Amino acid sequence: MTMNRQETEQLIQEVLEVYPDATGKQRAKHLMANDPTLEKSNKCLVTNKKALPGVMTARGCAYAGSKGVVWGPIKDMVNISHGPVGCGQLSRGGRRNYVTGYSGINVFAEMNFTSDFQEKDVVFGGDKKLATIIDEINTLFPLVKGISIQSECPVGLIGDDIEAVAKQKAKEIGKTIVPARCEGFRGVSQSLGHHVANDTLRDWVLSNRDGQEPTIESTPYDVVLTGDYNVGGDAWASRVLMESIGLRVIGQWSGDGTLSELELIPSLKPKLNLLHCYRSMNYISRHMEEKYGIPWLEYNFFGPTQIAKSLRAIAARFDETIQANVERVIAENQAEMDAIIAKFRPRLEGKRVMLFVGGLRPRHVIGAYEDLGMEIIGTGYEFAHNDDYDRTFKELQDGALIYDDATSFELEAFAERLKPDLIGSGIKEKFVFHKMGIPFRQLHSWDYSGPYHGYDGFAIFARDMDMAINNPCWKKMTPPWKQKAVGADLAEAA
Amino acid sequence: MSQDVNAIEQGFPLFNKPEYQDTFARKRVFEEAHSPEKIEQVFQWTTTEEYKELNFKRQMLGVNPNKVCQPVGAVLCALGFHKTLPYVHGSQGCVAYFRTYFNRHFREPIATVSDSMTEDAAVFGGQKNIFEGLENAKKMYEPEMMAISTTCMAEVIGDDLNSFVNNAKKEGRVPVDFPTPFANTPSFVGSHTTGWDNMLEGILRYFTLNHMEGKTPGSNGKLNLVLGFDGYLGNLRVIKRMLKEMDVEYTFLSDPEEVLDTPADGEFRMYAGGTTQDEIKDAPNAIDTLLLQPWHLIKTKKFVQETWNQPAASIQIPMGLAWTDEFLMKVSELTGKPIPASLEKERGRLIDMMADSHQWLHGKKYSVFGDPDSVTGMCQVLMELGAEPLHVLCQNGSKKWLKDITKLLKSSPYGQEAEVYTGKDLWHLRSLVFSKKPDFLIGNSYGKFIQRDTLHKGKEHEVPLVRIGFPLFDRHHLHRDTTLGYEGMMYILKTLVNAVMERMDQDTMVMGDTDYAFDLVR
Amino acid sequence: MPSVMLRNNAAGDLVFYITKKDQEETVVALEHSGPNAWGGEIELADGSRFYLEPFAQTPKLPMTVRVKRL
Repeated sequence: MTMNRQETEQLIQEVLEVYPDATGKQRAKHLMANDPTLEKSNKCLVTNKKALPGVMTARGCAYAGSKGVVWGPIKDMVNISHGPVGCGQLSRGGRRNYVTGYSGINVFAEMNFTSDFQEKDVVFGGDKKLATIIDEINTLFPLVKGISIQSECPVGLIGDDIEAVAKQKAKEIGKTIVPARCEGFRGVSQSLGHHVANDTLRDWVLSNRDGQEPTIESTPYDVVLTGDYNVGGDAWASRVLMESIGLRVIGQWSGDGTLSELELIPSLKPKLNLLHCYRSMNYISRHMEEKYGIPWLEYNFFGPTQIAKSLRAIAARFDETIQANVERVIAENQAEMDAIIAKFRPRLEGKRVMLFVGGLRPRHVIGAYEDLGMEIIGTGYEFAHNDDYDRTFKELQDGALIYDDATSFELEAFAERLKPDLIGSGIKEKFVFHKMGIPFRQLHSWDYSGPYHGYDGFAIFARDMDMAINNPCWKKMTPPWKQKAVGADLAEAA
Repeated sequence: MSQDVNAIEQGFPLFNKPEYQDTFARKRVFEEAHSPEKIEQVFQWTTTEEYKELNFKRQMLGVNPNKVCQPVGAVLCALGFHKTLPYVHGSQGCVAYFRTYFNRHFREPIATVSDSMTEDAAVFGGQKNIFEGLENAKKMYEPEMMAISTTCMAEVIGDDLNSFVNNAKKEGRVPVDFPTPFANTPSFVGSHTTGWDNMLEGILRYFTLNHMEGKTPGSNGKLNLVLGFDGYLGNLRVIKRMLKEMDVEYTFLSDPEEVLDTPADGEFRMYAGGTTQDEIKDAPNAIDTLLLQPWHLIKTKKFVQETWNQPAASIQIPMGLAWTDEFLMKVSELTGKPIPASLEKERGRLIDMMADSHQWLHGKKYSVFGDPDSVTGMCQVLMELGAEPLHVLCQNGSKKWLKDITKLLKSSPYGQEAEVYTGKDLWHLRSLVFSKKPDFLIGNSYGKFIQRDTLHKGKEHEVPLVRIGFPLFDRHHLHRDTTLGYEGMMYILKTLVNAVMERMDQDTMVMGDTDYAFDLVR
Repeated sequence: MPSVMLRNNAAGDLVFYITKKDQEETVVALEHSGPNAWGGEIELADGSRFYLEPFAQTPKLPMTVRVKRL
């Protein structure tokens, strides 16, 4: 059942009826039927506004955006969850940002460092405690390259001066220390945390080596991968693809990233900054372009169609060698991709998908589904801004449902009405739809699979979508004694 | 790129192929990575006595803690009530995390709302958020009760929860008689177990404090049971079963057995089962309220004793043989119902299992970590099996608990070697097991990193993790099992003995070397 | 006096990015576009108008500037 714009609008109205009037009016502004001809979303969609109290939003907080998304994956730094114990513990290891190294020795991404605030810290302030903590980290983890301080709610409320502590201790221990003001009550979602984290990269990291002689020689083929968090190894799959076309990846931000890779960028001055997650890292990309003249380009490595398109767009920024390489790589992978599509497309053709995810996936994965013959009937972001929706309309079919910061109630209601064959969303949504008998894949963590980027990733993506939809379990929800016989059905109809 | 359409490989083992290993090597240049020799040298240093001493000198830094914050416990407690929506007053990010945490352990949907306080609420207070939050949640999710707890944000700015909620009712946002029990659950005090206790006390207080007239302990002939913070559905089930077999009527105060285990049959149930409001109101009429994890049910105990005038009979967590015996005898004593033959038979079967397996467990050494009550119970179980607790680490254990468990350990020949730690985290435990190696580690999924680290020092240093505890994220469906009662001890025994066998097999399957002991019969 | 970044996007359009609001808009009209003066009144695709103190020469983009809302 593919709906036209009018039918979609009607569905939205029906679902909104349950809300109290004022809330329904607010929520109406976050819901729409897609019109692929629209260039701009600001006239038809309100985004990046406070979630309404009590509606069960899927959104997180600024801490989740800064520590959880941007800083967390940097592997050779210690991120201190500064405040009570919960935030660090609840966010530990949930995002599957892959790293390689020796945990607790030279990489720390999988661990949880906390200042474990007690009542006395809230009353008397936590600055002294923080200073001691930094010393203790430097003693017990001598190979740590730097430290970031990720503020939790109380820090901003009690007026601690973490910037002063950071400056003082950085001088003392001779390592980079970054204070991030990402208290969870700031902003309206993870998104502000991304921005805060980007600003700290700009102010406390990126220019650290300005004026120093470069330690590594640059080449005309240097690029940096920005905004790929290496979920399930995505950035690695993108990295080998970049290398296969003759480019040199000099830095990954921040999946499997290191402090050096950040600090080296200005001196290596890569030719292009490849921006994967626009939402969470456009800020630093804009800054690098302005200050260091490094242009940025958004790309999409989900599914062979988008991969080829992106590779060609990237090649257009380089010389004929790279352009020839790209054509060769696309051709070389064609057979493998054809085989994947030949195997899985017949099993997935025409299946209808609803998406509700974070930064860029609500638009970026559409092409990969379409490569498999599947159709996106609804999509939405937890914490997007209008510029994300500007980029979404043309990727999405006419009349498809768009929901911004959807509440749990809305998602269930939409799914009940639209009866999708697959839902791609997060762990909070997953089990709801399992109960309803709707196949589901987590599209934040790749449901413990991945990578999904690049040619290698598409094979895994196709396999996973097939297993999600075609596993026998979904057809067994109703016990046989409750299933009407086909004959009886017909008799009733007659 | 290198995928075979008939054997598609995901991350592992894909990334061990040369093209990925080569890219990792190229990346290291830009990482300005430390040399492998240096890394190895520092790793070895972190396994020494010198490092252990430095590690234990830590004053302020927490590394890999083994506790969460209060509202996590409050939400779990609230989920155990009939048609109840847990409502968290404060920042929304907390609630996203709480839900996720329980989603991953129980593999179930978790419905919990927050009132999304942001910067303006930090300045002006969160009353407006409570008004809108209660109204929206009531209308959209149609609960019969909302159990309110707080995040640290609301606590730091000092929101007056009670008056805000009352004002919301005066304003007509929710009906005056709509139940809204609440508890203050600041994250910077106590841990998840404290929050569970606070929330339950808040709920009991809300429904009974001013309604005690005509209530008499014993008048309904039932027993109340309180499980406390626990990650095992089987524990609710086993206690219920034993009470049924004893023909004892009971009420579980917080009973999430159903809501955390709804079927996949085409329908999503946001609410299922749970303790009803009538049952709470009737609870003061019970013979007594048995607190199954007494170490963290402190406020609840006080309330039961002081307001309900029930004894809250002193029991240990019914884990292991003796404490299950004691539990059943206490139930029998309180209700006058005899312990039936069926439970005697079950007990006999447990002893039979202990006899069958003792040779593999006697003298084995275990490091145990977790919450106070379950750790105490685990030590008791181990000693009953002739196994020896070596390290006992409970980050959220009190001084009183430390004294008590030390006494327990000293009372048994199998507890003599045990060292007990409170306020210490899993990075401390890492040092402890490098310093004095146990045969196994018992605890939640976070223990897996200690196993990995010890393995890196060498197979002979590896401390395998036995997953019993909360949370369990990296194994499926263990939360359905049981650690309480005779049945619980059967499960623990089975798990422990087979971990020994599994390890034996691993060690003895090297052909032409150790395979003489790769026995078919064990 | 909002702080904005001016840059050319991939299509070559002049784009106006309001940092604080995290909002990107295409410039549809620019009063002076060089070579002797660059700036003045700016009109965006959403209809809003700003004033930028003109530069004597065409500046190198991207560049962050202060503008006045009109």
